Amino acid sequence: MENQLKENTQWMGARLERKEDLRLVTGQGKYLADIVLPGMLHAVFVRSEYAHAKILGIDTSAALETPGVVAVLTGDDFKTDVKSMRQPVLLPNLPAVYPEYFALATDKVKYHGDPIAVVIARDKYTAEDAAELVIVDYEELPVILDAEAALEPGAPQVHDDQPGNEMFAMTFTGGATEEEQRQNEAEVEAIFKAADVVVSNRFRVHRTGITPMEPRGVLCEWTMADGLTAWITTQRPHIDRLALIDILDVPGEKVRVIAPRDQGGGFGVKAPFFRENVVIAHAARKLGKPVRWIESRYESLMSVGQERDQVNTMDVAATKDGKLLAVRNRGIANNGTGQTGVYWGFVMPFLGQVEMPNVYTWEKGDVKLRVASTNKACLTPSRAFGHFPTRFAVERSVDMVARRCGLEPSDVRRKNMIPKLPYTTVTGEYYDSGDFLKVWDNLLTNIDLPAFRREQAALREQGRYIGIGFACGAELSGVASELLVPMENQPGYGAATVRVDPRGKVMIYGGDAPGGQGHETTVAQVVASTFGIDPKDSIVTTGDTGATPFGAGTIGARAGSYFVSAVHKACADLKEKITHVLSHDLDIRATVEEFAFINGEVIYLRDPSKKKTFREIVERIIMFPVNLPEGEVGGLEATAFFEAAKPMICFNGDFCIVEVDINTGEFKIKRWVTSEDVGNVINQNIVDGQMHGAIVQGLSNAVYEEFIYNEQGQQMTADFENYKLATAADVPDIELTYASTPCVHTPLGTRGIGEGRPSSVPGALSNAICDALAPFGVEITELPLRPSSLWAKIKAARA
Amino acid sequence: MELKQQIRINAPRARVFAALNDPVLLQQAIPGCEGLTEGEPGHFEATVAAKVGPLSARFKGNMQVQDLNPPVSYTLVGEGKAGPAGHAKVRASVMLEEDGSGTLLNYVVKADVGGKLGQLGGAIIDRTAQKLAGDFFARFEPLIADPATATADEAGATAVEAAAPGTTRQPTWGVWYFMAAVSLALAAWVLLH
Amino acid sequence: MQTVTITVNGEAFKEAVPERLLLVDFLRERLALTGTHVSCTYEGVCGACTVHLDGDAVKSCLILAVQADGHEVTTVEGLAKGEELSALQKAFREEHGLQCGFCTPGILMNMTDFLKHNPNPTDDEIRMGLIGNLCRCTGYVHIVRAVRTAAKMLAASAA
Repeated sequence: MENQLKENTQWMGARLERKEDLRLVTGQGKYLADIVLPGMLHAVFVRSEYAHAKILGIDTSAALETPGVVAVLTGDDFKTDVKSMRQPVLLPNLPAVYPEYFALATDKVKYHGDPIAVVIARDKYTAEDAAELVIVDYEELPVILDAEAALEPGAPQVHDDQPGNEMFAMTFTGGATEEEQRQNEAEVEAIFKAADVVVSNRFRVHRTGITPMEPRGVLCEWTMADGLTAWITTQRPHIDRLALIDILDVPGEKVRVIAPRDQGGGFGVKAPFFRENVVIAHAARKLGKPVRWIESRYESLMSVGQERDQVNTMDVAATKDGKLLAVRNRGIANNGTGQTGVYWGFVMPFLGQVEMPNVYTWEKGDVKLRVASTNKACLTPSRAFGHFPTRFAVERSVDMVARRCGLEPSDVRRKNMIPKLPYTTVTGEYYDSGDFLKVWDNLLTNIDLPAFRREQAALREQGRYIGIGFACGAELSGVASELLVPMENQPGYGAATVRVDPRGKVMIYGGDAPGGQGHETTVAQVVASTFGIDPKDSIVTTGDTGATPFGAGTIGARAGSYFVSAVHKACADLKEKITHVLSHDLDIRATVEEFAFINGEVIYLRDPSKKKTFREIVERIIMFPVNLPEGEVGGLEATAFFEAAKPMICFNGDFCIVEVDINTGEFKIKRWVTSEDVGNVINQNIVDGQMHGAIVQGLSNAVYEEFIYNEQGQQMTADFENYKLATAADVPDIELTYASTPCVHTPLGTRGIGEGRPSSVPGALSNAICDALAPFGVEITELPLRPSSLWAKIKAARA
Repeated sequence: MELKQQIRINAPRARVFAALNDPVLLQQAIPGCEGLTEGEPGHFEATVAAKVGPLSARFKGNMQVQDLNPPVSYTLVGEGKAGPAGHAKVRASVMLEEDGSGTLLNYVVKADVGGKLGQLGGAIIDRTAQKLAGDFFARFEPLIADPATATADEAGATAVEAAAPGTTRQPTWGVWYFMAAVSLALAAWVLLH
Repeated sequence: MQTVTITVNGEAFKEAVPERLLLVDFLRERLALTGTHVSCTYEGVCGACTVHLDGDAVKSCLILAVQADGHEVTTVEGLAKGEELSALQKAFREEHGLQCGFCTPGILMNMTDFLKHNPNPTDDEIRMGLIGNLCRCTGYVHIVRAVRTAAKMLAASAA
């Protein structure tokens, strides 16, 4: 045990048991639904049963007469009493047509599930009963569900203030002016005309997303003296607070937002600012009692967690030697109503096109996007934010090029992989540091490819079909202000307050609210490593706007990149002060570099007999601040903000081996192997867990999950019986390998990981299936991957 | 949801056609029908209680007879709301063929079901529709075989044959009452003069 | 309303409950035992609400409180003996078998029952045993490892 603390960085990379786990395995976690306030009322929403309709009238009389019902609020209450949801703090900085909307539907409903009214009662069951008694008189309107059809002239209009149903459109290549863009298009067309190999496909990815196991919830308490305290299942409490201030028109000193200490997953679904926050807050204000809403799974699947839903018409030009020349993509995204604050749905497909070029050295690109409004639920961010479909399209295209050239897909990837970083892609994305080739070569050490090809050929003789598929992805490691300000009008810096107490314990405060990523543990490891103490001596508090520094939220893998870097910076500032005072006390002249913080002690390296325990020196500075060096005052607390010099990434390569049964279309994954660049690792278990989780989410999205709307816009998959998540029996074990390069822009060399990780999964899986079915010439261009559709393709090919 | 069936009814075609347009008879035959009234000619309002899967629903709806082509075919278009359980739009095309002393009844029913009922899924809705249709015809056949109802229907059938095809017309019983009323009025006039 | 007596984690509770009150809501709202979670709309698909009824793993969102009258219920709060965690609880901590923890109590309850009947399971058997528990965060890999480790721990302590 004593030996454990000899090394200063001994906690980095450790497989430390998480601090969160003791309370979670004993059922002592505190999630939003576990928070109860005295006198709390329960809210249940009444939601539209039509995809598009005028609300002619709402009869709340029967509901109001139900014993135990305290109030029923409708859109009229929100049109007049509070402001619209379209506030500047919730608007991206991107040029889109933002349709007006309020916390509850006013004159129209625009998707099946649109909230119309809220019933508030003394107990939940009563509220549910009463909600069924609310009678809404609808006049049905024509429904538009397909994105491409929505953009056609004459299509039914989703929003009166968005003629043409085009939410957003952008050209990502060529330059800022139309002239430059047209010039670029012509140059790209010239490349295509001259190219040996051109593959052109329409790639379609269905509507799916990363629904967390804990649905949303809001609990609001409003007192005359202190104003509003809102507990929200959110990844972004500080941003939510600003939105509540602006929409409810309440002074900021009277609004506090708290993300519960424990949240059951976010994955982006809890990152937008939702109407329900406003409804519940306003209800609490009006009624003078706490009001709590816990989302049902039904509501959740109707309203959030829906993403992807893109068509990407992609052309790739290459030489006959497999050198990729140019990529041309026309993306069309189905945004649903687009009415959800912060992202308005379209920011996801926007980023999806930005990230599309992946890690290949394209000479040129011609990339355009149109985002259409339809009568479906608005897209909500889902891990692999916007680029799940574009990654799929590119990785499939690369394989098709390889097959046309008669080359190994892994060789074609390697040949075209960016050899040296930093690098800026054709869409302007900056890749900061890392070694893609090192990661790729490491991946290939896990398979003897020639041996596999021999085995594949032999099995084909026996009528069995195995295949190997590759894919890779450069993913966001945090989101810099440089990107977040233009994209979302929000900052990207990491922020942390570190407070040392006189007993040598360290408290860390961060504004970003986690949902299972283990921040309490990783941060404690960083502090332990920096101060030379034990991780159990650090306590992390997150998510309370009343107690933490401003943070933009737990999004885009910010923790391992921005948050821990801010923690480290604050600790470094405190180390300066500690060593300054200690030098003074020891009557030596020394800088911070000449001290080691190890084993609970602060030791002068030139003369190890000169030392103090961490606890002694911090107590001295905080409790007995006399005889301090010139210019120093007592106390040990620092807040630091971290902004990386450049936007950062992490990287992964995958391969999987499948066997396909050509008689049924069923496929089984035999192996899934990864090679990751995650920078320097803090907690290896947590990083491993992030990878497993992301890959299985990618598999579940690609194969099992699908949000289905029928022709009348009725959402048919609003429960887990119909919207199927992968179970443990549906997915394979996953082999993780690492070939990391420390990040050059973070103090610890760490990278934020996990956000984009699912994106390489559909490419790797479908590439493996197509490789298995190469004798039949089957090429997959659509998701989901279902045995029935595969079987049909095989049958058609064999005919 | 689409339901297509052909069944044989042991009654002559004219009687079957008339019966299918007889609201009094229909109310007895439709399972769970709590009331069936006529507003404007050819426009009916009905309240029907039904159980679809685990959901009990009370539909309040209206129906309209269209494309009347006695005694061969007609279309029934309707929509109903079932409160929190959902809503449905129905279109039924009925075609009758003579088959000896009986009738072959062909129908195609297309329904769009929405709200919570719709989310139960096609399998449950189809099964429920099949069951309701089966129950309907099980009750319908004995009703038109009953000689008590036969008289009214014969009279109605005659009236129906006389009506021009393709027009929306008053139901059988309305015509009968009208004729009765006219007869009474004539009788009264005669008596008074 | 009906008066029921339900023993939960060894303690008897006598409560007047509406007939339609679900067992999961009884545990969470009446007894403030919030370790049992609701993740689907009481469909019985996700498994987060799994508890033991007379020692057998059941989904408490599919059971009425009145049905548990006179019976014994064990929740995740009842797995540990004082401060001594169960083998599964220890194993889940060791193997990082949880991330957000929302599905975890249900898995612990299900697997406690599972290991009683399958003390030496293969990974495939564990995965099949977990069909009734949905997890979004972990991808199930560490969960399977944790169950395997717990099985070994139980075998070792039994030996």
